[in-house]
Amino acid sequence: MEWLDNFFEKKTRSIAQNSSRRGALARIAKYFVGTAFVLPVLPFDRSSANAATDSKDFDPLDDQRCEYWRYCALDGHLCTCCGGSITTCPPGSSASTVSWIGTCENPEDGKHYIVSYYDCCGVSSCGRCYCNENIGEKPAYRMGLHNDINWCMGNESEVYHCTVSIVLGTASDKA
Amino acid sequence: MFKFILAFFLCNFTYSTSEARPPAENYVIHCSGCHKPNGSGSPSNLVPDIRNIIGHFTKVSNGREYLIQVADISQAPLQNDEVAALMNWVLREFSSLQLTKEFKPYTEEEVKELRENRPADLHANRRKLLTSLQGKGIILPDYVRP
Repeated sequence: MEWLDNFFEKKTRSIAQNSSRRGALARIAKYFVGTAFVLPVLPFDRSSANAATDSKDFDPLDDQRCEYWRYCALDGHLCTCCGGSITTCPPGSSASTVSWIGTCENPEDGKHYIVSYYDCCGVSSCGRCYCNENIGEKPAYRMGLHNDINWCMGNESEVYHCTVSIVLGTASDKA
Repeated sequence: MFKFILAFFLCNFTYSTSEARPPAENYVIHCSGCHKPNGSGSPSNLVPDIRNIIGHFTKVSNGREYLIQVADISQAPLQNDEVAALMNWVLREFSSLQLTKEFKPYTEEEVKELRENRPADLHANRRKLLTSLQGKGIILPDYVRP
């Protein structure tokens, strides 16, 4: 097997003698810098990655996903991901004094339910589980059916934290 | 996407031709976000409490008209008959003690007439109403913006 040792020794020595280590570093560095401008590895908005997915392989009753039926008109962060529950604000925050109303269909029983969305206020934005679902949403001149405004507006602190969804009752099948 | 568009038009079609929703349901959908399911309102948002108050408006001239012509009623996305049923329900549900024997329920025709002929300055109307009510010894909280 001595010929194998000699072969690799010869090759390694010739590479070491004929190539520049700094040149190799420069080429690797060029590769990294070059790809940074070609591929989107720098700051890139991935917030919609969870919001819009056509994937059906998830639990439809997972209340930490935007696809959960009660969230059909919710625009904001889910309180279930922020230390609260589907109906209670996380500790330290308080529910908005006004809310907006949506009508969502529950796939379990096929009925439409009236859902009231309350913002939780007084703590800085939660930042987790952002959803932007707009079934039945209307422009701002129908303010009661508009979800792009901050419903914390009448609270002592107008800082928005997250949103809870409270079912108020069933709706006629005229949604 | 085509299915969505089709569904949207079908919904609008059924909405405009189907029977009206019950007034209690319309209250929850169109009013309760601000006035709250129990009618308590939200004074910090200038949303009046209507419990045992709203019925007083039917006792003075222009009060009955005001309740229909106020923006959030007259401009609600509801048919005239739905608005009439809704206001009759609201008055009885939240303020039946303030309704007099002379109170006549709103009709679809009356609502249509009032919605089409709104006065330019409703706040002025409201201030007059509050003065008239004060003359009867009824003092309401003043939510009018300065």
